[in-house]
Amino acid sequence: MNNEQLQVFVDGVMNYFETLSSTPAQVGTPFLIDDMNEYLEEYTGFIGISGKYQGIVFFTSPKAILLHLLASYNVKDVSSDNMLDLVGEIANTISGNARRTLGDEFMLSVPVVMRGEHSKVKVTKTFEIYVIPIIWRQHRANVIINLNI
Amino acid sequence: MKCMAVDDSNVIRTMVEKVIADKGLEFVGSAKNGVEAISQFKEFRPQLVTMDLTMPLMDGIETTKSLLEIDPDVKILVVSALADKKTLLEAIKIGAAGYLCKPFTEHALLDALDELMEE
Repeated sequence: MNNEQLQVFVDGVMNYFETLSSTPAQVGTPFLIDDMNEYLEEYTGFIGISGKYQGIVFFTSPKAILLHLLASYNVKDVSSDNMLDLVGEIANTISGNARRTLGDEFMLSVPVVMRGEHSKVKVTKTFEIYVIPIIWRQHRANVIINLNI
Repeated sequence: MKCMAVDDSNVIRTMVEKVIADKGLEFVGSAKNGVEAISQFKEFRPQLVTMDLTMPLMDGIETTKSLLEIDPDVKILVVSALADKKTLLEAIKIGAAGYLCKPFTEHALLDALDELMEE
């Protein structure tokens, strides 16, 4: 992936938090990693990508961020089910927004979500793995991109 | 006016339901995929539907076509994260009345609903 392609996802993250909240997210410089497990937070949603591109886009977050975001949606039920629903929805939104630049051949699966269970996450090691770090309201979340772009 | 939300996200359906109820409209159905949407649509006959596109079992494009076959007068507002021009044009081509890109604020949803109801 080049900087321009990574910027598509950085812009998606910033747009998401700016739209949902008056507090903008601080999005750090993306960096390459070998093992993504240490970057996974409590709740993770991911989208399988197919078509012209292949791979996975993850959004992973601690509970604290999801609690604030559920409040932004005026959703009072802060059950684990809604936390999982929300991480899947965020992964879907960031991936779907990327089609504005990457086009309709950037094809999305429905979201898959999980709480913990990091050992179940398998990525394609032949594709680079980038982390886009996000700080929002003093909590850390990550977008993890594992794509053959 | 009777309204329904179709989205695989419970969080989004809950938000849409609240906005519709606060606006004084009647919220009659909440479906998490196209199959549920068609079943509820036949039962409750809403006049306005918010429609996600990426859903399991039956996607929003196919669901929109089916609902319009049942009732050509239903107004369907597509609410999707898919931000490419081709998808937007396809949704409008098959008969969607509007397109709201995720993420969106309550205010943006209200504006989109107002626009549809004025038509």
